[in-house]
Amino acid sequence: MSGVLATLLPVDSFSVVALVATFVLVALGLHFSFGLLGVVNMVHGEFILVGGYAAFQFQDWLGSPVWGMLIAPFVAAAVGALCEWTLLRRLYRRPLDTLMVTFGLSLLIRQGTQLRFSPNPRRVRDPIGGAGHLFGYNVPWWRLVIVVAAVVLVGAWLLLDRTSLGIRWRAAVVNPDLAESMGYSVSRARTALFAVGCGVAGLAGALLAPLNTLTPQYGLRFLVNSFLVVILGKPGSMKGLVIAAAVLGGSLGIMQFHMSTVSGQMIMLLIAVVAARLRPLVVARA
Amino acid sequence: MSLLTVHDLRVSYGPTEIIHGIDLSVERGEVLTLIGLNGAGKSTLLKAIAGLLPSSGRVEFDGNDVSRWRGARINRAGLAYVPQVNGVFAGLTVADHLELARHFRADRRGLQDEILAWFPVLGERLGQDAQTLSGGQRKMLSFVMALSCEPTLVLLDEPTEGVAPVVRQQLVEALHQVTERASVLLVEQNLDTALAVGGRCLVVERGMIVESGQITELAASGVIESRLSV
Repeated sequence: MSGVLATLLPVDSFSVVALVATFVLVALGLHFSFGLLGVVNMVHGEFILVGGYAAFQFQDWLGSPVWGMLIAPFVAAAVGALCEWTLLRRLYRRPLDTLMVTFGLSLLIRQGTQLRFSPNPRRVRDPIGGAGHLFGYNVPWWRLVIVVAAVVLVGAWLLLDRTSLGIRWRAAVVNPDLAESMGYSVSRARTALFAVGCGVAGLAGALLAPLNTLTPQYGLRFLVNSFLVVILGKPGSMKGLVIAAAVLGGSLGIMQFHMSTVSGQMIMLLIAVVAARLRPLVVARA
Repeated sequence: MSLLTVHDLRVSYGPTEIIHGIDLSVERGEVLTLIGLNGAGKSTLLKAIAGLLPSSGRVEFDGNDVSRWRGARINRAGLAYVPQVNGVFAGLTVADHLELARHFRADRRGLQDEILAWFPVLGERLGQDAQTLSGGQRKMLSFVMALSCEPTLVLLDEPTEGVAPVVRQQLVEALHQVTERASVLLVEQNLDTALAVGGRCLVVERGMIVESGQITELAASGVIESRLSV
């Protein structure tokens, strides 16, 4: 058994855990906008982009990307709130229209980024750098930060979900008319939820920037995986999101040790298709 | 001055007009019942008054022109709405619902407990997902939620529809209690329930008011029965 595990999980299997955390981080923002609010959010990747470039910009101004990483979620949340307030709030329950509008917004933000920062690749420094050993694994410290951030964000949401604010937000999502008739401003709750989703996406973009090269296409590489995780995990379910991220991120991480990244992604997509096909059967049995 | 005045209210779904210029008023302490067949537009009218549907015309509530107000603001002005269906939040417990209902009025926990005492079964199910309650229990919970905000006017959309006779009796008793605390605009198809509550009555047909009068008189003259027979 241990021989099989050793073959499947090589020594640096911490990177598999880090990849699962990355999947959770990038999909978390989409959980709010698509999973809870039903917006087919094609601009999700661009909020990751905003976070990444915010980190870069502050590195340029202050010499360190840390300030940018702290401010990025607020920048992305503010841009998200503006998009929701001006365009999306008229389009709830019209998924195809949200798809078109967010697609247009994604082009706008991407082109704007290209105008401001040029198409040339940019780098954000790893604020900590280095690696160490933890439980016998080789652990790059920045990847550990990403794992901790994913755990903290999921935990924070689960806690918030049980608070009075979380209950009000859920009420506004599951039965907007009833919530409105009880005195709750549904439009405010929606703006807040969308902004939180964009803020989380911005934070993900900033945290992942040191591990990637920044270009105006930076956010696109995360978009498909984010949708896969949220859809496979059942839109609106945080537990499902984490399980789907573990299945998809874990399988991709393991595959990458044995084959090229492209082949690994193809197999991950295959797993996603099979899992989506089997999920109703599993749920029915449970 | 009337508590609620509706003038030339019109509601459309897309290009189709459903409510064709309705006028009505509810006095303080009054019970007004809207009666009519399925599809007459009664529920649509109630939703429009509650600010949950776009409409044209004028709605005045408690001296304010609320025609352009959102539902949340109208509720905070003292108008509660109990829908016919979807009166609970799926995934939230009964206790969550009660907390939501008193959020803006934390000082009224005593009032809510008093109303909750009308329906002891709810007190035994505080931890249960409200979606898994029976139809009658969901109606009871809707009552408690609506009344927890101490409204001056309650819009009730078919509160006894589709419930067992014993539950219906409980709800009718609760309705009597409601009428002692607030004015009521009631939508009802069940003539027995409407008669039990009493008061003035408007018969709605194809989005228009076609008869009005005291419900006992309209029932005795056979007007309601003839209007409700298909």
